[in-house]
Amino acid sequence: MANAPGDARATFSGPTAQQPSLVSQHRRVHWDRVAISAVTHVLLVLLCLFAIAPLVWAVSLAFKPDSEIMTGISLIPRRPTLENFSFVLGKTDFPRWLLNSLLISVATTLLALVVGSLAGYAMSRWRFRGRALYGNTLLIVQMFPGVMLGIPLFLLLTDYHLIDTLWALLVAYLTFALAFSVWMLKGYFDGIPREIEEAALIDGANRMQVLWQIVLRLAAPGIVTVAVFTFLLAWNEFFFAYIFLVSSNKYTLSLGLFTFISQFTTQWGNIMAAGVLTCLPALVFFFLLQRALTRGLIAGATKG
Amino acid sequence: MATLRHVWRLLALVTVLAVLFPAIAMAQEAEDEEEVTPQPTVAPAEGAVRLQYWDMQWGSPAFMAAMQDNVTEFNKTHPEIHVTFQQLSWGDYMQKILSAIQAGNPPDISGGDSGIAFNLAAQGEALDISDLYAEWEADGTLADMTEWAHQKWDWNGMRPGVTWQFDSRAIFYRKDLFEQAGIQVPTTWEEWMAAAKQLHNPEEGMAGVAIPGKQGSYDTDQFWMTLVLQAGGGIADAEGNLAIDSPANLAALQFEKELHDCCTARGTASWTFTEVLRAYEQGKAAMAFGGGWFIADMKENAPEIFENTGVLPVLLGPGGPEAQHIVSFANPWMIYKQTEHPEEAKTFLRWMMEPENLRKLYEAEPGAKWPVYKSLLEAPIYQENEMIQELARQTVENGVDYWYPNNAAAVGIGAMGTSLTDLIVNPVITGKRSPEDALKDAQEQLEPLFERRGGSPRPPSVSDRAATPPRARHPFGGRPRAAAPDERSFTQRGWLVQRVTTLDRAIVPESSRWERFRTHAQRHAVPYLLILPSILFLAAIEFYPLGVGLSEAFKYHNRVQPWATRYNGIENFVNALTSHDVLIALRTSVVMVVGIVGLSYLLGLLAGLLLNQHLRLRGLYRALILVPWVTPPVVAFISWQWMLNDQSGIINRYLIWLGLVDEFNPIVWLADPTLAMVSLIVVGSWSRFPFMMITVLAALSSIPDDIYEAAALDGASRFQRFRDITFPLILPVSVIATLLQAIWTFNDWALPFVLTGGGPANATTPLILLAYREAFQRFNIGYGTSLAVISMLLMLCLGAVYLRLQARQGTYA
Repeated sequence: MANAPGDARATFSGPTAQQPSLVSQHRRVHWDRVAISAVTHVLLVLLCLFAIAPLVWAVSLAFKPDSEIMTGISLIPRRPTLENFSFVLGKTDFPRWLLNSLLISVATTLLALVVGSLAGYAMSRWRFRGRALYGNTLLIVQMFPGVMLGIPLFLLLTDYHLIDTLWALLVAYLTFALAFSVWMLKGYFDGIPREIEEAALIDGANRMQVLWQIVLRLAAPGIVTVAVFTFLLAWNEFFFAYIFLVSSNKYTLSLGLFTFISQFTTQWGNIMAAGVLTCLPALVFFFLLQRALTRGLIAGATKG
Repeated sequence: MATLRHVWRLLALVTVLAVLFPAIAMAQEAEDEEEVTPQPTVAPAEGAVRLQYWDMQWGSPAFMAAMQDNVTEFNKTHPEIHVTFQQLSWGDYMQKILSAIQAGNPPDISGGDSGIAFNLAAQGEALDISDLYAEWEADGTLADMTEWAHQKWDWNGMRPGVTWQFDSRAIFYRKDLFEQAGIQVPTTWEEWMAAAKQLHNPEEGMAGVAIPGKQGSYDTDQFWMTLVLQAGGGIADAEGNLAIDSPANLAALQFEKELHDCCTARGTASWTFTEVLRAYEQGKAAMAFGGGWFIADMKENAPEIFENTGVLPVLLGPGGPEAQHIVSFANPWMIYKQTEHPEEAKTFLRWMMEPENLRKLYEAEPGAKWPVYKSLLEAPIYQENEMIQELARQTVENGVDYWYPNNAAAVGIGAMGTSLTDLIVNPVITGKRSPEDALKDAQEQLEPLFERRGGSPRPPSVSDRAATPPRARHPFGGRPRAAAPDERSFTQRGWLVQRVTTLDRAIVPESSRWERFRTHAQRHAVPYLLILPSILFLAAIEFYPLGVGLSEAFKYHNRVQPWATRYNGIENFVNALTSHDVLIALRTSVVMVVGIVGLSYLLGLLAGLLLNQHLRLRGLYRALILVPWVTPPVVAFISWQWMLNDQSGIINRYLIWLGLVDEFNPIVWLADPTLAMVSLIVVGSWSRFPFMMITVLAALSSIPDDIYEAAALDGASRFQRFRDITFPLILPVSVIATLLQAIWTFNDWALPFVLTGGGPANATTPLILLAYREAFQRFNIGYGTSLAVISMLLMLCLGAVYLRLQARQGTYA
């Protein structure tokens, strides 16, 4: 994002009808710049406050004792406490849910990556018959409402005795993770020059060797990005977890957190502590890989 | 490159986790096995019969621990039986029990809501425990039991369950306020209304009475049902037909409407018992309709209020003294017919029902659960204070539930979900429907739930079920569905023959084309092999379910009436498209999509334009604005829910602090239909505008600088430059992103579900939530699927436009 349209510079070179003295022009221009820059910053600060408000308040509540939550308007807790966290980690099933969420997210990511990189490579390197149909199908399935798949999947998984297991979630999460990762990986493979592969092929490597030893390594940053995306999709998912899981020791974090609302109706501190912990992996990934993720998002946004 | 190093580190981490996954999974399973044993001291004896016992999350951790302790105690004293206790949470648990039954691994014994035993008995899945009743009759247990506790389960010549606890509702009142105002304790509806009117004082933040009114909540219908029972009404008649549209029920509804309009807080339509309790504890209501657990909560959190609170006597309504009832859910335990150890399960049930063992449970959370045995009224827990004494007495003397006075319509009543709230109470108190219309609607919409096999309330036996599907109307004519097999195969064969001949004729001249395809495929097999795994996955988890879903959409299929399942042609779609609710939901969907996509695009555009220049702190701004996009939706929506809460939310608190809003008259963000929609749109935009910003930024970065320089030289103003250069250039990408967001917003289930529950008065129920509610909360799989199909078709239209534009953009290379 190096290119700026140069709004600020343009003000300098703007021609003026009259010819005022050089000094006054400079002063006016300078004042303009300050004003515009101030407005820009004010607007951006407002947008940022809007963006982070729910998270900031969640963090604030998580460190407040119950007595402080119901009164007062201060963001900073007067008597900060770790009680909420120790309650959530020690007295609820939260650690178990964390493990479940981790398991299901990692499993989804791995399967989607393996299957997705094969298909993404095919999409990137061959123009085979049915390619457009295949590609479009992948795009279209991402547009199906979750409920449309959720109801029949619920009935089918029941028949296969898979309801209330993490396997059920794996199946459900693959429905969206797969299509998504094929398309994103295709995008990354497109960015790798074919010449390298051709050279390797001439040297006698076979296709799988090329894919494994060259393409996948060169696309590693992209693959990690896709992995993180897929991981977060599964980590944040709520609908399928809500309809497929029943026993509390199978819950994922999102679902467990949601059941907290009815369980600890007025104890917002506990709920928010659990919420903050749920956010952590997402935030860590995000700040570690911000640039790559943003780029990936752009690719996703413009290429579908 | 620093990022690359991170990347490799992460990759290594992922690989390690991948290796660990099976190990962890196995360890987890081992752990599951371990959890079967509550305490190491009561490991199951050699050859002990194992029983699975599931029960609900009935109360506090202390209560649940008491349940577990009882089970442990039983295991200790009965070495030949080993019971495993599994806790279930509310939500859609009934669907899951049905699934466990269908899958052949239900528990041996379970608890559940107050209708569960009927629903399962109707499907032939409940074990008749008449023999236990005979024992209880003989040893005097039944004589000690509250009548409704056992009468309720006398159903069609069998006993599908037994009540183990009552969950009672009552009206709490502030004795001090009544005294100050010189009001006698009311005993009739009229006196009560008068008292509420007199004490209602919104200027000082005092509501006459606090009641729940939230959409999608079971709490809401309980107040109305209290009135219904006191008016002498009920849900169904003695034959088991739905009789919701009755004069008595209308009187109750009109009374509630009048009470709501004159004497409740403005946020009532978004209140559950949680908000009712909080308002009452904060001294913002003179009376509150609530449950037994209010007492303990008040004692702990609002001792002064607790000191001055009493329980109103059971009111005398239009139904007269015989109808002096309170709602008191008789919650059962039941044994499953599929159990392999019925005798052991009965032993366990018999033990659990012993007064001494039940007392231990009741004691764990005083006041929250009410006794089924009259003798326990003397127990110290029910003598603790005046309120508990009074409520326990009301429970035993006046308590009945929705199945009163007769249980012929048991299954239908148990299958209603939150329909009474959603179709009747919430729309009426918000003024969306008149009481008369609401009852008429409900009568019409709920009638199918009360359909019984062959018109008789007799539950079908297992052999009967094998004979389904019943004589149903054929989708396209009068012919019964079960055509003679010969006839069908004949027509099919005929069709096949014809088809084969046409194919033959078509193939012969075209064989070269086929050949060409084959050689092409052979020569180019690699890409097909590469996409094969994903195609297999897609077929198994996407297209097969989709096909099943499509066929469900043409069925009448309600999971609590499996015997009534049949193909009914396009009836679901006709019903859907002529239903008032669906059309409203569709309109809500459109408003939601337009509002959220529009607002989020504007915000994203603004952020993108501001950030697309050299600026101090640009990276920080961008990172912060992206936060909504990485926050897990459930966390975010819960946080928003708190922020928007009318009583404790930070937004109202700030507005009060700034003096913009009166403390006693807060803005009810989630309780007013219009405001709730606005809140929903703002929160939805919050979660979607970062994506829009990124899209806009990407598009902006591809515009070359020199265009602007040229324009600036020509004297174009800032706005002109935006209008004539920037906007046209980012428009194509914007349209595509907007379309994509429109589809995702339309499909967004979590936002309305978590934030507003779809209420008030369905004001924030989009089509997708309605489909979910029909299928999962009202068990109406067929109808729910048809709504989902309609949603899908609409999205496919948008999707087609999207693909078109994508292709034109040329990004589909």
